[in-house]
Amino acid sequence: MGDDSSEAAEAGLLRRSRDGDTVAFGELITLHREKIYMQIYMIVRNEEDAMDLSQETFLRAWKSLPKFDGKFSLLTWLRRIATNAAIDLCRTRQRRPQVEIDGGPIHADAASRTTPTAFERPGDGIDRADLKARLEAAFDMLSPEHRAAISLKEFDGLSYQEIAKATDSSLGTVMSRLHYARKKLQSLLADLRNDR
Amino acid sequence: MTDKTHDFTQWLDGKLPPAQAARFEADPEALAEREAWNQLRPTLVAGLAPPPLLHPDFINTKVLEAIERDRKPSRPAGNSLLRRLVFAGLASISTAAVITLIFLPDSFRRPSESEFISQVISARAGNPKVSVSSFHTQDDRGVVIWIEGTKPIPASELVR
Repeated sequence: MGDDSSEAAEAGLLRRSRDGDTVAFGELITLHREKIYMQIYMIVRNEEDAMDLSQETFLRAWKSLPKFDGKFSLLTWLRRIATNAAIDLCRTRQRRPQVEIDGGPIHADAASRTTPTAFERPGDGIDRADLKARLEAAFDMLSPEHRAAISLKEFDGLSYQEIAKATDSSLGTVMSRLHYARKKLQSLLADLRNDR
Repeated sequence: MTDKTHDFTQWLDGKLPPAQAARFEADPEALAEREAWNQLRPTLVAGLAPPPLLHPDFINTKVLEAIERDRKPSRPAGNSLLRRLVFAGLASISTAAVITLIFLPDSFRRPSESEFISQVISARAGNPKVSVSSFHTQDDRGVVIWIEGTKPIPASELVR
């Protein structure tokens, strides 16, 4: 939402949606679906889950419209619902994945399947697909909360305050998450820097 | 989490006022970290870009379908209430009927055949010239023994 006219248009759609107008709500979905999908994807790291959670986000928003007090923008409110849904899913997944090998349970997560045990030495050379896999593996090793903070900052360009509202956290928590997420990414991908 | 860490994060993002930023600008370790992040950041952003949303309208369709599904049961709320009331009424009547049948005193029930004054199992006569038959009349609640070919029954036999 940039100018006053688009804000007024959104306010009109919001009002009609609150009165039960699904056509107006459909237009609100169209306005924000891409951003919500991208945000969820960056946390759950899976297209199918991101698609499902995007739908869930809008459905939850529809059900909670009477409670929306306009304290934040609609997008920020949707982002908060999306973040909660995505983090919940990641937590559920973390509890679930267990594989039995030789009778003993082995805890596994998505990152451990793709993260190399040792990084390539500087000068080994790394092609584009490998680089992408390395970046994804490192990013997957962050906690969902850290992934949310980094993606809202670096991909969506949100301010600390906006991230705090979108993740229902304090300003200090946001800065702390950014700090530790960056530190971890730098340590996991240190050799990439040397490689260049 | 200390204020220094908060400040460092803001400094890394170029959000720290110059007066506060001076201490980091003079710290080689902080400068090295900033340089490292500034090198890694574009690689991360380029390499981790989310895939495009291929079928965006699918989200609208599914959400609106779900909303319609949720709305349907609430529409015929009146009918549903009426149906529930009728069902509850019928259930109550059935229960009352069963209880009545179980606890109704025997005297109120329809009398069975065994409650007649007498019941003739078989009727035969020793004399071949005499025929005996019996039947009972449900309306009169009695049994008739029909004897043909004999003289009037002796008074001594009437009692039996």
